[in-house]
Amino acid sequence: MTSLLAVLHKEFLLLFRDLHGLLLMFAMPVAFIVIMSLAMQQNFAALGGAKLEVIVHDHAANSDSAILMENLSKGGAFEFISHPDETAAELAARVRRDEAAFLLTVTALPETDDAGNTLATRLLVAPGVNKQTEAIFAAAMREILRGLKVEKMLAEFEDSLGGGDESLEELAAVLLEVDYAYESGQQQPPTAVQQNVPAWLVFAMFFVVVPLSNTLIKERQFGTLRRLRTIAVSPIYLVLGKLIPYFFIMQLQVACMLAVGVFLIPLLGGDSLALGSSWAGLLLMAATVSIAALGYAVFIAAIARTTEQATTLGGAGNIILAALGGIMVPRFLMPPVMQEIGQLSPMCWGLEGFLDILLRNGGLALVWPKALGLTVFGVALTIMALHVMQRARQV
Amino acid sequence: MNAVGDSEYAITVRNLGYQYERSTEPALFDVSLQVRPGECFGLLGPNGAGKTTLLSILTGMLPIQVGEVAVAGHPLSQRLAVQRLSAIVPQDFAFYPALTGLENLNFFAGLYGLQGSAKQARVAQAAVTCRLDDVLNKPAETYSGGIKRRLNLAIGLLNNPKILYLDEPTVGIDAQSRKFILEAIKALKSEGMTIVYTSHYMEEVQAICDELAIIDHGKMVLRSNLAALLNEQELLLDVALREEPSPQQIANLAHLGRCEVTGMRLKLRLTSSDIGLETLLRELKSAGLATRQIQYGMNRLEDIYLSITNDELRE
Repeated sequence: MTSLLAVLHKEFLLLFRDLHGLLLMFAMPVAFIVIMSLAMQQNFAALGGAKLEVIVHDHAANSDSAILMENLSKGGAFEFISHPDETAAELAARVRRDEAAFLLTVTALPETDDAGNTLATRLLVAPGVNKQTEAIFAAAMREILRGLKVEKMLAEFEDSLGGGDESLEELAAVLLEVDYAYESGQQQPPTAVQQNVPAWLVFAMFFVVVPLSNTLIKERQFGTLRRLRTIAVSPIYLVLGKLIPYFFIMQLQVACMLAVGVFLIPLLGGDSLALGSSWAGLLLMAATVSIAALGYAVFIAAIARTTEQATTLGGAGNIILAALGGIMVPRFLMPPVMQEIGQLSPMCWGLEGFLDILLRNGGLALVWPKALGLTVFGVALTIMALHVMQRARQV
Repeated sequence: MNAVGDSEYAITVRNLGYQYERSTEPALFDVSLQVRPGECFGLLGPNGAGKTTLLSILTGMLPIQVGEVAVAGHPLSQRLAVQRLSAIVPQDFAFYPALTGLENLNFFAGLYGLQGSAKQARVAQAAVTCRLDDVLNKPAETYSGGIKRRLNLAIGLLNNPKILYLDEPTVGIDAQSRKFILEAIKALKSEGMTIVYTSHYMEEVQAICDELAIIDHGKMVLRSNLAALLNEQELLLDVALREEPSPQQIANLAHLGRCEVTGMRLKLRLTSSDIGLETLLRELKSAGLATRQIQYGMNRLEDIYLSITNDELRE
């Protein structure tokens, strides 16, 4: 036990003196979380219901166009603004500069056409608008215009029949309720911070590969490992003495990143991170992602000969695992094949587990399969690393 | 030879062989030697000769493939007992540069299971022996090469070993540091510690070792008491002349021994150890040879070593 305490003490001292390693484990993810949360706030705000601006140029300025405007503003997803003093060319220039998503020009037809239309509408799409948003807006426009026509026809029909018990508005109502697919009845859509904190936290935790492999490889290069093997001390103590301090530091890392999401991001103008309702689930995910990342780090240290090799292998491996695992690009944006492949990445299991807690408001019952996968991955890689090191007579 | 487990010897190695995976040649082949307690045993050989492999087996880092080894009567299979009795000071600076000297000593003392006042006492003693007191609280990475060598040695003394393996403990340091380390090793030897010493500095081996083995290509090519080895050698007169000698002048010296001439340098290997320096000087003068510098005496260990290992470049 004295030997284990000596190794633990030594490893803590080395860890706290490794400024570069600490920066990598703490400063890098903080920077990522802050930058990505603030940078993507707009995108997620749109998901959360922030309105896209639409400039309306009402050439018709008649009762039909007034009804159209009234109906458009009921939609909620778009904010209609007008600049009555500006010409059509000036309004188009605004849209070209992405100041608004669309320019909607409404003109009156000289006479009702064969299809019963009295208004003509034209849409100018801003360069920054994606196809999806364009399609949604165009569909909404068609729906409103169609609704107006139906309303007009019903009114004429109602007049001819002398009215009924139900109003037109009641007749036009449809039964559609919208619910969000989050656990425990949460009815708030995700914010940028809610997505980014777990993603970059998992990414940063796997970067333990750099400081851990560096200390292991330096021990090997300096001949310290050789000396340690001549001392009557259990190799298990040597390995545990190295892993425990890093495990502890990684729990600090989790606490620190969550604190950034809860306290720092709101101070910088972003949304605050909601921690969900399962502390046990959160602790389980923090522990098992640490186990997986430590296993990965020890394995890289075992197969790399130099610190440069370990940094390159570990770093590049992390980026690939992150790209596959939905850290850099959310998995729901990937095609089905890539989503399937992405499930092979332990970062995917870690991220999904954290999202289960933070986003889907889940608990232990939801995250245990991911936690189990991460543990098996970490333990398996550690055993493989010890086997490689024993073959090379390093432990 | 006594039984391998006989504790009369600090180290007994019998018919030891070792071959690394993927290697076509054995790193050690049929090596046998014995080291008495309190002896300083010099282990010499060119780079790649098998010295480090032998030390690795003796310290339990490599398993025994062929042969038998016992340390203080314990077969190497009793690894813990063997490791408690011995320590190695590797050629590398095998410690943590980011830690201070004291932190390094405390860490290794903790690994040996020392704690409390016993640990403090042992650390203090090792620091005093290696004169580290003034630098103990500075990071080891700021130490000079000489101080790093001293810290390396001090770590090796923490478990108060009966047998200390020193793998080139003075490589790359200045003359003062080397002298200090050699004195420290002599002091440890005088306290009864058994020392196995490898070095490429022949004058060091000549200065501190009692017994000697030379290993080359994995085989032991010489095993001898150092003083006896040096005494067995021919007396040599090595003369730097002012001008090249004529064949006649060389012929005039032939009755004294075997002559080798290279330019203005003459080496005379004497047939009898009874020929004194005065006689030799008189003979040189009567042969008409003007001298600039003369060395007279036994072969140096380096000459013996080079002649045994065939002088050739190995790497």
